[in-house]
Amino acid sequence: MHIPDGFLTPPVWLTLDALSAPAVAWVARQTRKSESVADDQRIPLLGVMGAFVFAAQMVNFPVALGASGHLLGGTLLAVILGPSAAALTMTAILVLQALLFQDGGVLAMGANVFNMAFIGVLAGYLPVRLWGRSTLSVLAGGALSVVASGAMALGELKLSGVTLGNSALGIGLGIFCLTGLIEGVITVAALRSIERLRPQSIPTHTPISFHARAAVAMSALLLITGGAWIASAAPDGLQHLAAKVGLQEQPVWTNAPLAGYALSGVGPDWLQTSLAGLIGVTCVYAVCAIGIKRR
Amino acid sequence: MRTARGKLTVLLLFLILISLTPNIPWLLPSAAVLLSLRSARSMLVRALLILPLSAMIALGAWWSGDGVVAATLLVKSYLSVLAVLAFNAVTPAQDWIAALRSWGVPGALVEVLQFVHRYLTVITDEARRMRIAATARGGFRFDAAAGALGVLFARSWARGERVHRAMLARGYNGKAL
Repeated sequence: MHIPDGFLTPPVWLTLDALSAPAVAWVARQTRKSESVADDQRIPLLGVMGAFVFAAQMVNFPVALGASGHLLGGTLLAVILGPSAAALTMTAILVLQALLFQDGGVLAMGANVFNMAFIGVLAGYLPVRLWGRSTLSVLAGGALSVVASGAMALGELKLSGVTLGNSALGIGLGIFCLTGLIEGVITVAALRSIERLRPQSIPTHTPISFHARAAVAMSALLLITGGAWIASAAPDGLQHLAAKVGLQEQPVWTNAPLAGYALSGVGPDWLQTSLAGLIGVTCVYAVCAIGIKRR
Repeated sequence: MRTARGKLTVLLLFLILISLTPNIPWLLPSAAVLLSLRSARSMLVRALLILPLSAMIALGAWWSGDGVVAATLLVKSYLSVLAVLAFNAVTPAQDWIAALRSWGVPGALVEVLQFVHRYLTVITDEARRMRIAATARGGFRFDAAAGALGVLFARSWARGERVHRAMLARGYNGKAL
């Protein structure tokens, strides 16, 4: 997921460097501010936590079928240090990875910092912010963080004119979904074990108020409506792959109520897609909410 | 530190040059410049190590029907990595990290970088010892790996607090390092 140098065109890496630089300056200031308030110096702690994330790569978790994965850490850092300190620590990790370990490019550093230190950390923190810390929200955070930063990376490559066909994109996204799931499971396990050994180092996360949650729901609604409208013009990667491999020759689910992500017979096309998306998201939310209540 | 700043500037300019080059024939002069450096020549094989990832992306591009572009990308990423490796071979990390500060990189980031770099080997060694011990017992099971991660975290955290207290005792005021 670390984009190497040579793949992004100058406009793309320049824009992302220009976006990331002020963002890093901002989180650096935030971290200093919270430090003077809380009185406990955090910089040495952040450094040691960054080294911990590096070292955590040595601990291999056996996952199904003989494959193994390791912690990537964005969500774990966000839960323990808070989002801005986590973003700063991830930035430091990415800088060292690029210049010392050739993991990710130097010019592409802005892109990698943007994808993993900002989008990744924010996406990982979002579910915890919305629902408080629970097994399900941390799992969702870990998965979301990897999928979001992976999707950003693929998008940036595509913007740079790297011709990735729908099938290549589909495979890429599939890999990210799998890695994301593994990251979620590992983050949950790691947090449990940290909680047992050192509960005082995990701050409490109270879920945000009902009104704030409503605002988030509204903006998600806008995004879905807009996104579905744009996206319905282009077929998605997985579908394309399935069609190519021959999985989709005679789909049995064409008669399902939300087939093709559209609610048939409710008016114009864009409304159908948006409504179908909305119903899907509501179902997912309901399942998550029920799961979290039952914790 | 001033030389580290110079080397970092040269590295950036060189990488930008590679990034701006349109195709493989035009990359030859840059390759020749790199090969004239002894530090780069000793890294020719190590630079191949990052190729799996680049090759995967390039393979995606090639499969989608653009062989020439894929090859150019592969060569570009190889040369870029070679340049970074050559830079690394002649510049100690603490030097270029210190040079970043004079470029206006926020002090908090520079300090975190210095700490991560300082404790990287210490904590990674600890993790490696844990892994060797686990291998001797027949490898990590999932819950054992989670436990190891927790222990590693707790030890790192305690170390961070200890280090900070020691630094305060020696007059660290949060800025100077």
